[in-house]
Amino acid sequence: MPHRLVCEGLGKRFGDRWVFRGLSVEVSEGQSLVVSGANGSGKSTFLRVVAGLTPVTEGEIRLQGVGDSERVLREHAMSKQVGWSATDGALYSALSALEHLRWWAAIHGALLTETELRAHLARFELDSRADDWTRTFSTGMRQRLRLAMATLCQPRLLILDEPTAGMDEAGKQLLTRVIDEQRTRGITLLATNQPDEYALGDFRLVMGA
Amino acid sequence: MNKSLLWVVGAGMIGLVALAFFWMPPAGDFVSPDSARIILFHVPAAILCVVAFLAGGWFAWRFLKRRDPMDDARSAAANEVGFLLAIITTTTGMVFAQQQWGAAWSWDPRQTSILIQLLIYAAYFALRGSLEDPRQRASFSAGYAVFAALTVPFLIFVLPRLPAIANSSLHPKDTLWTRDGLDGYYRAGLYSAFVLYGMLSFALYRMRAQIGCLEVSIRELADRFNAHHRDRVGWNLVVSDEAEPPAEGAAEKSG
Amino acid sequence: MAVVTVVALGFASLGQNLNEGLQAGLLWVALLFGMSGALARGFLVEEETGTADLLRVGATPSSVYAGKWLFHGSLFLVLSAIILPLHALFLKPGSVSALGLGLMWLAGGLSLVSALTFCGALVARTAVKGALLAALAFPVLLPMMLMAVSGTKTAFEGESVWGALQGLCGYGLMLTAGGPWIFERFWRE
Repeated sequence: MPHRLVCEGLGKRFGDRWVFRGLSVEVSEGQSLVVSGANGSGKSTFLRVVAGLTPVTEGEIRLQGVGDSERVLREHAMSKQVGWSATDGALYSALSALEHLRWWAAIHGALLTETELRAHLARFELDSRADDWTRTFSTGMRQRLRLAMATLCQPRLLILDEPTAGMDEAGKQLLTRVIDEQRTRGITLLATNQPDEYALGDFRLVMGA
Repeated sequence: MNKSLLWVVGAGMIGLVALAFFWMPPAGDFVSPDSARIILFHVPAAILCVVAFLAGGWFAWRFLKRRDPMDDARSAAANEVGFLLAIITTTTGMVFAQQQWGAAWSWDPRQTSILIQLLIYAAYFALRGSLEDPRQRASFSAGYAVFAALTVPFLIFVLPRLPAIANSSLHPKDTLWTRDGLDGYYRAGLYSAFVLYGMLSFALYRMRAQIGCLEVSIRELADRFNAHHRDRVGWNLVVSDEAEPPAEGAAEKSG
Repeated sequence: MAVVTVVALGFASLGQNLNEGLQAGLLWVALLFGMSGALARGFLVEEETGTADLLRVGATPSSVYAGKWLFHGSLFLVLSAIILPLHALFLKPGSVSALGLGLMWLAGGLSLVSALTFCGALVARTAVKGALLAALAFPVLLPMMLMAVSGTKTAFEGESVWGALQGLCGYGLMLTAGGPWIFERFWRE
């Protein structure tokens, strides 16, 4: 059965302000959804909600077709199905890129060898700096490492929040490759305001319009 | 129903004061025999305070299971009533201690344990006050309330009875459960005090919980109102040219 | 800081014998001081740097909690390894019941580690962390410290610690078992 991400009537409120309400969207396996909108329109909040980082105020999120039954994303068993990368997402400053991947694989119970991890880093052009602390990394390199972590365990649902901010041309092509690969195994949610990246999605959600 | 209950409790409390001061005989073997009358106010408050805290913990636990905001309101209400009863217990205890033991506060194990209990619940209200988002406030304070309720039986029943500690306590022990701990007057007075305190706590709890539940409903109503007017769903869905539209917009869905 | 406390008091009491109650209190105050310094490196630092989001996406709540508990636990072991010998060296307690002292140390450590882990987790995401942490942790720690100090005192006197040990074990186990269950329910809020 193909996966399907189903969001029904999602609403998120901070204090008295609704960031968004009544947001319903469905994305099937092999598709990608681009989320765009002005700053502060709730793109990141929407992605955080889907990633299970922030509870919704109302509505429901389901990832169908995983395991035997439909499960609500907030269940912790689901965390293995989600890859997440955000521009402002932090990294451990005193861990190397390789250690990040090793740690990420370990908490997901993925048995990956050192060579596999290094190979994965090489795909993101980080192999030359694999053993350096991430506090020495540039913005673009940090973005690459976040992408590498998000895709490491081949998640069913890949959530990318402005992944090319601060990245060079090669990095942008990397993103295209990542999304194309993700089409073969799951769903992509991509938040971006770069018009040339809109084409990466099968359809586009404009927030705050 | 609240109002009539409060009238009954109010009248009953006046009756209880009269009972304590004019009907019950002073206790013969006390340093100051008249001070024994305070048992009618001290003991029921102490026991019902435990009941209220445990109820608060139970509602908090149910909130964590079911996520019903009303349960959080009930938990907070029960804990507030429990806090009030704990203050009554402490102050009446101090009055008795001044008369009977010669000092209002002597770090008796019982005094220490109820002081800690008060501090634990004061921290609970501080935690509630420090969280803005209602949902976050509910989950965090429910977590702490379950935790706080777990310490209640421990602090009230276990700690003061530990052999190493119990011997240093001046507090009367097991007066209620032994056959000759109380004479007929005291027994009757105490039972009526229990009934009255129970009704009073329940009335206070009900009113406080109703206010809390009303606040929750007001929020929900305000949300619905706002959805139709000011904040009417501030987004819509644009389907790009190149692909089929498997998404459905639901701008009308809320409300 | 914990070391400073022990050394300073050992120096101040030079030549005179502190009574057992003071010695016991001193030991636990030193351990508590040392542990409270570490709180900022537990849950607080994850929330402040934002790495807590990585943990929320990738790890199960129980493993996060277990990890932080082990962190605090190993810190307690390290601190004890420094403070216990120093304490013995400077304060020279008399006829110590070694078994009693060991049991109190174990039960007290269990309670201390569990209480601090739980309070740290609860406070990490509120706005006024420092003040609230003190307000929340203090009452939770107080009963445990009372029992630990009274039990350690009897151990220093060379007597049975059974009474305090029962209470402390009960409290410690309650905190240890209850903590993760509650934590799972507010971690992703």
